[in-house]
Formats: sequence, structure tokens, C-alpha cells
Amino acid sequence: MRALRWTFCLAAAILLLCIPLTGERFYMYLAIQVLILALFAMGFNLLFGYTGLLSFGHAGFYAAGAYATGLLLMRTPLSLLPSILGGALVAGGLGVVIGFFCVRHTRIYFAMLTLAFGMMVYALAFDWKSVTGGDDGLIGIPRGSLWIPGMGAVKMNALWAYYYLVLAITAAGLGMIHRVVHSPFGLVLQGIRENENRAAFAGVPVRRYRLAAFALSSFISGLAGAMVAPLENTVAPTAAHWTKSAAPVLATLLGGIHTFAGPMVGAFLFYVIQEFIERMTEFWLLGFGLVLLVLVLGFRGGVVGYYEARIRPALCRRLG
Amino acid sequence: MHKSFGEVRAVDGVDLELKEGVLTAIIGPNGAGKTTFINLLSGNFLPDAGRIFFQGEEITRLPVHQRVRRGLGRSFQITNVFPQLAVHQNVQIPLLSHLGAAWRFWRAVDVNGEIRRRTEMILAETGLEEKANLPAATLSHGDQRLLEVGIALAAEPRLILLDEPTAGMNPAERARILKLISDLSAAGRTTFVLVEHDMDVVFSLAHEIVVLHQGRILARGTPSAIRGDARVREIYLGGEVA
Repeated sequence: MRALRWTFCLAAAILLLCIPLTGERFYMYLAIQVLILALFAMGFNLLFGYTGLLSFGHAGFYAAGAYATGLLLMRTPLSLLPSILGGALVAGGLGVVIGFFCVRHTRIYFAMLTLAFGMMVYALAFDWKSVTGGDDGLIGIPRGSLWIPGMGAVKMNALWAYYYLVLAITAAGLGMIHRVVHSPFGLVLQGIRENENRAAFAGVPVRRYRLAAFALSSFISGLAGAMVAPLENTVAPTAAHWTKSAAPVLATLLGGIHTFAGPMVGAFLFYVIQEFIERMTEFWLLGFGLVLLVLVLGFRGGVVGYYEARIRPALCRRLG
Repeated sequence: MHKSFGEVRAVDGVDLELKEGVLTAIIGPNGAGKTTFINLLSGNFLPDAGRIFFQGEEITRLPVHQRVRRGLGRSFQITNVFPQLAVHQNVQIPLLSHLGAAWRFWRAVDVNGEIRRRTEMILAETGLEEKANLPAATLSHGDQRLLEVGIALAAEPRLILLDEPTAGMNPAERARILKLISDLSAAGRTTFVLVEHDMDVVFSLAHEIVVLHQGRILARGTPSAIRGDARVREIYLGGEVA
């Protein structure tokens, strides 16, 4: 059934590449949101689905990436791509520091610690006015230009141009996660998730692996946040708020925790459901809550988990 | 060595030297401190007093994974595997760790020929080749216990502590695991220490038996000496070996 998977991937890739051809700013903007949340949720799930640690504070890293990128673009001569990577690295570095304290605990204690650290980042963004701009945030972040070998500096002002950049960075990020989860390191992380005690008795220094996963997860989340600053030209403290930390949790639950593609599909559903419900009622969160309730109660492994457990076997039978 | 839990002195002054190549069984009535003793050796708990030396090096306060690195492996009384991972992945985790390849994050696991070869070897030894791709949770109880021994073996331990390896097994499974233990013990690479309730297992496998009672060593000797020891019969064996 490899062929089926490739068909899906190819169709998704073609669709994503074609979106700017519609010329509709709305679709491009929505697609960028989906891509960024997809990367954010995939980074989050490295810790949640693969290592077994539920973080409620990932908006902290997302915001760190966004703020750092914004500051780099505003105050240094760095061009767009180095600024985005720099933002992600700052988030990764912050992940090492915060992770150092968090990975000493698991389950609810871990979740509460990450929530607390996430809110500290929020408080910092809110109060450190001289650097972060306080509750106004950073305003007037230039999108800058992308330096492409052979073409020189290319302006990214057009939304379609920025869309392709986001698509490329997201694809690179997802490719990186794919390699990592299928590597020895990824297997060891899953072992820790399954049975921490047994992993230690397999010779694994559990805490160090958790910290590495935490840092990598922060880096990816920061990369997602970094792409927001040049898009919106502004970053506000809400980027670090705990409600923002809920987004990757919900996307992952919607799509499926223990599947590779789950969080991506969940990110897509997250925005589609939101757009759909927002058109019918202003109480979109209420509707979203109901949809989530049905999915969590009825489709335990998320949409992708359901597909793999029920639909794919049926398809395989029918297609021979 | 000493270890107390509140008022209970679980291990109360046990002084024991284990010899390489000698398959030792630790027996004793429930609550004698057998599992606590194993847990102290393997690093689950730290002792209140006393020291542990392994191959001439003190390991009393080393964390678990470093004891494993130095060649100390174990299995658990309650089956302890990676349930949602495939059987071969269960074996690969300790292998990767042992070979120092576990930090590699940029290449697929299966690319490594050495890992593949050793995984196959361990699955062959434990007789689990045909179930290599099944999730561990779907195996029978006996197969899971064999897998657990396989996980412990993957790190090439010099000493392996087995806590009731045959608990809950049917006779066929029991025969398989006993054969595995005696073959590996005879091969001489690994020294086994087992905690066991089943006297048939103990007397058929062990070269030496240590009897614990109320956290202390009551007797120690060859199976025939233990069988003949009056105190042991009185306290523990009862009519079972009469």
C-alpha cells in the first residue's frame, strides 16, 4: 500500500504548489496558517506522540521564534532566511534551558511545569517593553528579501512569494522530523514513551534523551513561529499565551497522536473547521469543542489513526 | 547491604559475593527481601547502607543506565517490554544503546548492517524470529518474557539478574526459557542470578543457592547441601522437597 501513500503525498504537494495560481489572497493566507500550524504541531508531537511528554507551554517557543526573528529583521542587517533560522535557534536554545528543568518530571508535573514556563515567556513578552514592545508587541517588522544563489536578493513582498518560502521551509522541517523519528534516536524516544524503566535498563540515559527531544521540539516550534513575524509584520504577546499552546495539542488530537502525518492533517482540519463554523456562528469555539468531543470520543487515534486502523485495510482489500 | 522501607527491614545485612560463571538462585519465602536485593543490585533503589562492587568497580550509586553500560542486565517480575513497538524494535533499543549508535538521528535504523545482524541473532536465540514484526503487546505471556530476556541480552551483559523468569508460564514456555538460560550460561559469556519460586526450576538450573529469610542470608550452598539443610526445610521448603 506504499503506492496509496505516495498518491496522497503527490496530490497534496500538487495542490499546495497550485494554490497561489488561484490568485486568491484568502486561500494563500489560509494555506500559510495551515502550514505554520502543521509544522508547529509536528514539532510539538515529537515530544507528545513520540517521547510521551505533553507540553502545555509550546507557545513560549513559538513566540520566542517569532520575537527573535522580528528583532533580527528590525535591528540587524540579516536577510530573511538567516533571520528565520536565527529565530528558530533562539527557540531551541530556550528549549534547552527550560527543558533542563522540565524533563526531571513526567506526566501532569511535566505538563504543569511547561505551562508555567510558557506563561513566564508570555509575562516576559508583556513586561520587557524596551525589547519586546510590551503589549503592543513588535510593530513594523519588514519582510525583507530572500537571497537566492544566482538570483541575488529577491523581494518577498508579494504574498505568493512568501507562500512558497513558507511551503519550502515547512517541507524541509517535516523532512527533518521524518528522518529523526525513523532514526535510532527516534526509536529510542519511542522506547522511552512506551516504558521509561525498561529504556533505562536497556542502557538509555532517559533524561538526556528527553532533553534532546525537548530542544528539537522547541526548535521546530520556534521555526513555525519565526515564519509568522515576517508574514504579519507584527508579533504580540498573545503569540505566547497558553491558548496558543492549546492549538498544537488540539491539532494533534484531531489528526492522531501516534501517526506521523496526524498533526499535519489535524492542522488542516483545525483551520477548515474554524473557517466553516465561523461562517455560521460567532461562537466558533463552542462548535469546535463539540467537533473535538465527537472526534476524541469516537475516533480515538484521531482522523489519521482511524484511517490507518479502519479505512486503509478496507481499501487494501478492495484494491487487492 | 541494608535497605528499609519505613519500619520494614527488607534487606538487613546481606553480604554476598557472586562468582563469574556460577548460576546462582536466590530463594526464600514471600517477603524475604529477594526482589529488594535484586533492585539494589540493579539500581532501582539505593541502599541505606552497604556498597556494591561489580568487576572490581564500585557501582553503589551509579544510575541504572550506567550499570547497564558496565554489563549488568536484568528482567522483571512483572513483564516489562515496549508494548506498542515491534518485537525487533524492542531488541534494537538496547542494541543501539550498547553499540553507541543510539544518538544517530539522521539515518534510518535499518541501514545499519551490524544492528540488523545482531537483532536477527537475538531473535533466533529467543525463538521469536517469526514474530519480529508484531507489536510486543500482541505476544503471549511466555513470548513476552522471552523477549524481555532478549532485551536484556542485547546489551551483552556479563551478569544478568532474572526476577522470577518463569512466573505465569505454561510448561512448554517454561521449558523453552529454561533451555535458553542453561544454554547461555553454559556458553559462558553471561553469568545468571535468578530469583525463583519454582523449586523444580531452581534445583534443575542452579549451581549455587542462596536462601534469604527476613532480609538475611539463612543458608548458602550447592543444591544438594541446601536440600539437606534442616533450617531451610523448616522455614521454607516444608514438605515440598521431602
